[in-house]
Amino acid sequence: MSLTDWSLLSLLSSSIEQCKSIEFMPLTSNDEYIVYCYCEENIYLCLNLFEIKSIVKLCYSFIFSKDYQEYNQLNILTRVLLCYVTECLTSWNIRRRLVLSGTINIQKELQFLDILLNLKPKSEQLFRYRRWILKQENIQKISINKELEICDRTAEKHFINYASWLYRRWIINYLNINIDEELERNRLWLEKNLSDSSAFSFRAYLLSKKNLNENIIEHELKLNENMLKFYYDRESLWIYRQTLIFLTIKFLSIDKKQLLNKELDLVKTFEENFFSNKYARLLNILLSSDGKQFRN
Amino acid sequence: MGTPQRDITIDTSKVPKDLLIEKHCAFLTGYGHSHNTYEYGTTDYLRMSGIYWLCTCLDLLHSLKLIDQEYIIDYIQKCYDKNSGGYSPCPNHDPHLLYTLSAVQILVQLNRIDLIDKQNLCSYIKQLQQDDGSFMGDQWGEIDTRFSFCAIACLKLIDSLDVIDIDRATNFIMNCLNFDGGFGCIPGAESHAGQIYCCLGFLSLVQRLDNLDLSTRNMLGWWLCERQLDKSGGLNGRPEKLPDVCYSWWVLASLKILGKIQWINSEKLSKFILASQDDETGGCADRPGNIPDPFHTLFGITGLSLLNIYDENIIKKVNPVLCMPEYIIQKMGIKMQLL
Repeated sequence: MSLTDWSLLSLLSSSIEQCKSIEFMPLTSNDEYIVYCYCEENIYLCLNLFEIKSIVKLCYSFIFSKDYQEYNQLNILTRVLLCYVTECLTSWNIRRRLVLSGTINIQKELQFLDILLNLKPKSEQLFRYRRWILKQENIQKISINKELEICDRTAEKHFINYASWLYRRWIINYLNINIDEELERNRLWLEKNLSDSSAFSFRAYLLSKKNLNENIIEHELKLNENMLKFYYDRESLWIYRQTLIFLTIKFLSIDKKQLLNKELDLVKTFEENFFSNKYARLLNILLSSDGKQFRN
Repeated sequence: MGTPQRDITIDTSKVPKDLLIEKHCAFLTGYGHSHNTYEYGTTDYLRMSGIYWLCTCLDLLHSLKLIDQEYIIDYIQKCYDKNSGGYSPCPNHDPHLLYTLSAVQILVQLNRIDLIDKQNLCSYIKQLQQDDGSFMGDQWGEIDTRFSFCAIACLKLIDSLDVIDIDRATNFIMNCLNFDGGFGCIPGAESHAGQIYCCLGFLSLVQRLDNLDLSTRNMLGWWLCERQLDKSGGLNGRPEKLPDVCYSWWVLASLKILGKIQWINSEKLSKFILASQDDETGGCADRPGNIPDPFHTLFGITGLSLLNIYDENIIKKVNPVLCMPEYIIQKMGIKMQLL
């Protein structure tokens, strides 16, 4: 731990917001100097993949030392560390204390998280921390569009992103977002990302928050059927159909037998494949046993 | 027919077909000493769990004697936070329920339960319970059914379940049950095999599996065995994900608790697990050809243990709820419900 080390970390910290995103790259060092990072076209801050361990060790040694406990020093150190080890809960906790003490500005912190989410779009701790931060902020100052954009972006960057869709569920509840508008946004998103079961699971969640009636379900089944006509080989569409049937049986008092038979007839209209066979098998089991005896 | 399911292709001519016990033991013991490798330092934040994976796996492979137990016990005590009563993953780091469970599991396994300050641990866990019955992982308030499982498992291991409100804790778990039969991390969250294991494990430990009616058990069993992929035989954690060895644990253990483990094709699955071994370095990866680590090595071995393919002289029996060697659970007289 030397002054040079400290300057290096300060420099890394101040580089973060200069770029839109962070990437790890193998960069070439030589005997005279080590390359820690460089900025490409003002878009990517490229961190040297080979220097991860040395930087992490350096950050830890400062963070847990007696001499670098001033708030602004801890701020710099944890910012750098979290770029390298995003799941480090202890560092996020240090930042939580810095937020409570007023050292960290909430809007600036949201910007920092925004950049980190490009590097780690499925980081559980990042989303947990962002939720916590928003709870500290005046709700009027939270941008709904920004939060929804973050959800869209992280969900696109990482397919079937559990943490991102969980965050979206929280956002629509916390910011009281209109369910019908959200259903429409979801429909448009799914048009471009058809094979994303998490997005369909989220859609079913939205439906379950509405006052369900037969018209809504009917409409939804029709929507799914139309998609299946073109993409009958996508597992996500079949699983979503299955979910809709479960939802119907659970929440609506309908003639179950009639519903299941209608579904079986529909399956026959599609070209047979692995998923349609599975779906038909499930329907038959539900029909024959009232769901009490099934086994595959 | 012939529509592809998202899966991987395994080159059966190149992958291991036998269990590489000695190599795994060398891999695991080497991991504990590798202070100079890349992982050491960057994985500090979960080290306590790492040690638990290592100890449990070595014990199951009859090789616990290969590690320095005193060193580990000493390490755990350095991670104890007297103020809160919990354990951190690494000295200087903050305590959390996840690492507290790992620490307690290791101490029980190494027969040093006497080192646990029961009263302090109980009050630590008790103050994390919320009015709705859920548990926070630490003082910062995040809720997850995983934390409910950790809380109950810790208390069960020190025979102190009665310090928390079990009725309310159970209600919260039941609120996380989805209409597809699965469980998520909070009410309304997507079903996930890891969360299902935590919720079923919870209900098993508090002997409340009867809360799941017959049709729910069947739907859940269906959901779980749908996780087996047709081509590779491996299990995934959610629809459309690629197979991953760690789900050999989360999914199989859940089915074991439900009494439906026979719904899985065990021949196909064991081939997948064996193919995920690294025949050069030892250890298992998440799937064939990837880099091995202790986490996937443990869950590969525990998966094989649940499938009952090897004799107990080769892999000891694992307890499906606490993920510890069964002989320890028997010795401690810990009771749980299995359907």
